[in-house]
Amino acid sequence: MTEINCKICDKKIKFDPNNPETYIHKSESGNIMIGKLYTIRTGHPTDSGATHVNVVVIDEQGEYRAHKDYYEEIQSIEGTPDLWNKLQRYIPLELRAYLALANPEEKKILTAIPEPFNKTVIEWYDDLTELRNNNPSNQLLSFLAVRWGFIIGKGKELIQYKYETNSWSYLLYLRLLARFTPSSEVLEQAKKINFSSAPLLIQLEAALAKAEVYLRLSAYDLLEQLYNECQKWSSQTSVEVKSGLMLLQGYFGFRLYFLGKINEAITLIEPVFNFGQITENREIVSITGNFYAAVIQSSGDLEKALKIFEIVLKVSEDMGDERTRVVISSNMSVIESKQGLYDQALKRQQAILVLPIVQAEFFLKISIMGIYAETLFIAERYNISRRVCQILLLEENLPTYYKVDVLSTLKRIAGKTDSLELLEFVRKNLPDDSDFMDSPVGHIFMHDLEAIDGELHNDWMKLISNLKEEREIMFKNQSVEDASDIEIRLAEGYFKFYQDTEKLEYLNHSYNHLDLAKTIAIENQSYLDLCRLLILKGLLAAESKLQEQAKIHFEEALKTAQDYNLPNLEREITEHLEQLNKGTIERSADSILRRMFKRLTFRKTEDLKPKSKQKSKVYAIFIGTQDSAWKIVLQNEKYGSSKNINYLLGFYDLWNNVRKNMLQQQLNYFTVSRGSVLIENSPHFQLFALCDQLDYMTRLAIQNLLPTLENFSFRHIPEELEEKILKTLSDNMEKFSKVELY
Amino acid sequence: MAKLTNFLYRLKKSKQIVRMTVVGDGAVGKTTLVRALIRKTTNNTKNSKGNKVVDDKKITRTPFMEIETWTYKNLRFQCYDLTGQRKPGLHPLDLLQKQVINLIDIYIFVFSVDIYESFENLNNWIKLMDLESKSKNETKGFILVGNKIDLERNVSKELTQSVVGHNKYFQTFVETCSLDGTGVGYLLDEIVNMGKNLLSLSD
Repeated sequence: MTEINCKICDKKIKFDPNNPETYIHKSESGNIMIGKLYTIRTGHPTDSGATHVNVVVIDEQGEYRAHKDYYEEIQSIEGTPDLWNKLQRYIPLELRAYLALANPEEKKILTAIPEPFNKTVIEWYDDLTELRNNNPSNQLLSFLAVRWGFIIGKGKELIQYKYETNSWSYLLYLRLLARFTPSSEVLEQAKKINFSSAPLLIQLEAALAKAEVYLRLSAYDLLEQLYNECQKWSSQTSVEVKSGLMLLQGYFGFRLYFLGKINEAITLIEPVFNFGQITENREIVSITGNFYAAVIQSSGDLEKALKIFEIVLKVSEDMGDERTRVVISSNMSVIESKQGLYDQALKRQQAILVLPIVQAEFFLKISIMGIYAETLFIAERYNISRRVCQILLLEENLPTYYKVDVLSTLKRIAGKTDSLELLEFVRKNLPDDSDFMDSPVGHIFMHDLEAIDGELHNDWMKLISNLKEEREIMFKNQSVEDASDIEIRLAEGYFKFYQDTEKLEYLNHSYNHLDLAKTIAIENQSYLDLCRLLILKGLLAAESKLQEQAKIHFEEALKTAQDYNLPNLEREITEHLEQLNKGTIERSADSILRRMFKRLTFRKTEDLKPKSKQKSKVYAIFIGTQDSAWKIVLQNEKYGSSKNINYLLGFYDLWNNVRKNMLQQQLNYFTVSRGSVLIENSPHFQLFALCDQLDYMTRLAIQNLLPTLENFSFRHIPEELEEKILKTLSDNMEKFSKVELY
Repeated sequence: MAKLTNFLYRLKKSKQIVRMTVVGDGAVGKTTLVRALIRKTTNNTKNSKGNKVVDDKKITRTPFMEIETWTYKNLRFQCYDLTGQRKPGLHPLDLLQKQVINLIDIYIFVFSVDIYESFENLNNWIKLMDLESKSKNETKGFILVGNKIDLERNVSKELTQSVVGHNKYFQTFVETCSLDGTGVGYLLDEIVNMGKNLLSLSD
């Protein structure tokens, strides 16, 4: 018997270390320095009904050695001591809400979890699993263990258990089935689940299970219906219900991403990710963080996507979640490949692909194989990429989204390798899914397929019209990741068209698209691309027999090559300039052009400069007519000033004096002391815009303004015209107001 | 390298320098203990920033490490007071291993008698400093200090005694209260004796 004094009331307490009936809990402690010791938790009742708990350390002989802790436990109304409150404070946040579902008996069992409660992720899993094993028929205890295992990535282990269809854990099991072995059967099982008489938290859990299954098995209508139905809970203010609803919103938002509605997806997913971070809910951060990063990546902001992945990676490391780590690692490899680090990305993907967790989970395997095929394509290893794609297409139950992704890679391989046969293969394998094919992603895919078909058949009009449609859908959905490729392909299409028709306007269009690609290169600080685009402009001019212009472009390219230390291009440009002077450049320009257009689209990125995109600030805009006195001057409500207006008006006057000369040189963009001036012309209008610098989206919005005005039926009525201009600018750029000129 | 080490030992001996490192969990009172030692010795004390040491120091956390020097009984003491908050990769034990472990004569391990964990955790500090084998030989001094004896005692004397003595982790055990100075004089005497012994041993 060991005897100690209670540190609270000094009462003598006796217990036998070998008799568990005499104390609450015993565990082994100590270390190599102090030897083997035991920690004993003893409790004795007091007159007030409270319990005095003393946590003491004894040696192997049962001798008292130290006091670790002591406190008074007050009995709660239900008769469970406030150890329960302590447990609620310490149990992982993601499980805390479910403790409210515990009955007195379950509370007793749960509070028997050995203290201290500040356990690691795995210690919680082990302790909860032990409770589950000791109480296999208990609904809540099983659910807590399975849910925690589910969150920390123990899916492979959990899927081995048997679950009754009416058990709460079954809901998590269904989500695992959708991840590991997706099939129409799983979809049917999900449709059947009905937990409407269960507590609200479990009803939410059921909704989440359905949402994940519907998303993974592309049942988007069902997902939308489910999301709308669950809005009946939106008036609930508790964080627990809100967390469930937010997660549901994340799944719903990601469905929009699959359909290519990037901006709508961001609107829905971004608040969920922020909510998860604010409430420190690691489940939300890890699930929606992946969604959010993928969507942001599609919008072209790789840097932000990488930052989001880092946040999610940190959370998954905290949770010891191998699955999420794998997912993030593969996503990071995509960004690496976009940054031109192909070998690194491929190596990472190969290593991930052989991991048992990847081989065991269908979705992990196919998505990583898809990413691998895509990286191989960008790295110009077309044959292996084609093989991986075709292996993937043999997979049964390949969801539409992944199938289209693979076909998209194959389609681009067809374009690169001039393979009509492969293009035909893609056409024959199109998914039989009208929902998907009618979505923006489906439309983009088909337009691109037709554009490549046009290119392979030298049908430039087909190429151009399809690319323009594709671009429009992409911008409507804020997906500008591939904008540069499209602009360069459009420039090539127009140039080829110019060569066929010799109509100068097509050459001008070609230049305009190259300028847009140039803006993207400047925005991305990709000077290698910028230099190549300038060479391309020079070659275009040379091929069009505009020697003077060719010289100007080559000289600008040469300066860029020298400024940014690009010796290979410098040599190439010097050669072009020499040929230009000798009058021999025309002989080789066409073949070089073809090669350069090919090189600049769907290509490797050699430039590894960091990107820091900044949105343009357009200070002032002047719009006048070509043939009447009407004009309007607008200033940005946020950044505009009278100084900028005066500057722009001065520029306008100067331009009108020198325009004839300048127009010949195809110049419509100037860098000036106050920033940049962009000039646009259409049959009836002329536009001048003063801004700090031009980003791609702003430049495109300004370029599209005049065609919009040309098509406006009331353009001859000044008041209507003014309103149209202000509204178009406000919709596509920022708010401007009219400035009265005296 | 060996030449340099020999030179440093010779220098230490000729200048009678005793170097100490004070370690232990956060909030066990290491810095207050060092202040109390200084108060007991001389007024001519300077801290690592070259400022005169302010006696009435408020309760603070040592952010990284403080180096104090003072002279007492013909010995010059150089004392490294390491932060108890362990941030892997950022602790002086990670960054200045040579200075705070290798060239040290006396290691002072401090725990607070009212916090059992601070005693249990000393083993982690020993492991971290890779001193398991060194502590049992006589060429270095290992002092165990149970601080804050003005507070409730939660670590029994029997337990502390089990790690002190010949062929054990610590050569001596001192109980102190840095606030009222209890035991500080005795600790100082132990340090001086141990310092003199070690300096003569290095002959």
